Amino acid sequence: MTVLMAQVDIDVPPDFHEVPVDPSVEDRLLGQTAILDELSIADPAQREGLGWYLEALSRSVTAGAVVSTAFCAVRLGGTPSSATLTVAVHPAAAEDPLVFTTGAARALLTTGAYESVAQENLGRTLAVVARGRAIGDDGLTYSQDVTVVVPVAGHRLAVVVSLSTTDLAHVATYEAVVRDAAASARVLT
Amino acid sequence: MNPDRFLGLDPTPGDLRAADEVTKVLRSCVVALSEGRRRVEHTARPDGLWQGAHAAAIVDTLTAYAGRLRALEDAVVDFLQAWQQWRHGIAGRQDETAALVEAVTQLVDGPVDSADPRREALLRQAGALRDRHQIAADQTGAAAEALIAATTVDQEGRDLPVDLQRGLLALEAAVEQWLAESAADLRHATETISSVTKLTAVVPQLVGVAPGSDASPEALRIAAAAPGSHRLITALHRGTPERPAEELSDASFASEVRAEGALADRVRGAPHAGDLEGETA
Repeated sequence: MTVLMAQVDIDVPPDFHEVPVDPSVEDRLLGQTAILDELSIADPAQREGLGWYLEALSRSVTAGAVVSTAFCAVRLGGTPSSATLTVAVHPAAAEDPLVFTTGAARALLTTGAYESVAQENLGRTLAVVARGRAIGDDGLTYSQDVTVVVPVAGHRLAVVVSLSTTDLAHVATYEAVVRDAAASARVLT
Repeated sequence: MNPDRFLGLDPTPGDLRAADEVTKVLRSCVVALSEGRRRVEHTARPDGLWQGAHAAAIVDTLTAYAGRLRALEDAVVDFLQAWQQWRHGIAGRQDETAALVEAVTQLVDGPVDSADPRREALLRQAGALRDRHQIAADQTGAAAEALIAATTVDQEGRDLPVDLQRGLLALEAAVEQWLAESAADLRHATETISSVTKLTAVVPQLVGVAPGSDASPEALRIAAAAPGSHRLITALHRGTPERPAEELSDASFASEVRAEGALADRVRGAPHAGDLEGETA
């Protein structure tokens, strides 16, 4: 699946279902129905509840820098597994990748929201990789988040891709997904 | 053994234990220099973090610094080899001195005659041995001079610390400017992402794949403002039974699934994904 957002394009595994955010209600409905069918959800009550929620979510996503959000519900290592992938486009006032990633790393560090923030070379681009986790009421880790920020080569643009999963046994697998997705960011010509 | 007493001089002075200590120190210097150089080279490697215009001056300085470390490492290695040769030579020549002392001792045991031609011959041999020892010492001294020359900073050459500081300060200024212009926007973007992520995380719960039976406050908030809010809120409170793994598809991004798929394709004789590269529709 390719997630389209404004003029920036990233590649995401086909298992991730993008929440429809089309301006047209009909298009959104078609997209929501397609997701329900792809997930083989037959129970009418469950279909209805999920459909309503996807619609409510669509209306919430369109505000702000976030341009797309997606989720997967798969079998991984023989057990049910899920994750969310959310993408934002950010105007980056620097064409120099080192200036951008150094600045972005410092900016993320000061939020205090991440356990670790590191600058890395993903091969095709420099990136900031930030890791965090949410703690549940029981004091245990509830979910693990990996956020990757990459500058888009040749443009004063940056893409922020964030993955969150409650499947703590497969964090490394999901981290590879978000890294690949962020590294594929490009501007459509 | 006291060569002075029997030969009138010590033709091969040298402390082997001290020489071994020097060898050890030189080896540790080579290891430290090599490790330091490799770290600098690793930092400045083409696929490293130092990319872009601001990195260029820094990488250039680091590369020059690595070059200097390499030259120093080579000079220490050259001196180490000369030193080891010197140390090896001391041992051999000191054995020769011991043999000469033994020979003179044999003469002393007999009738003492300072004009004994055999003694004269032994003393000449000792003199020649002293000369060889001195030549070896001079060669080692020359190697030490070469090492000193290699470690001497060329006052006319590039001042690498200053160049590095200049590059880092320029980068720092650019980063500060970026932070002033863009940090708040980026932080806001990540906060928005975090909010949307929490909302999207409810979807797998409604599918029955993620834990969590209670509707989150965020989900209830958007549900309250959404079409069909009453039915949606009811659905959020109802909860969803856990979905069995058999009803779900294997993740395409799991490495083990990729491997199994590729193997299955080959067993069936189907073309592998990699085989299709370059083909057009």
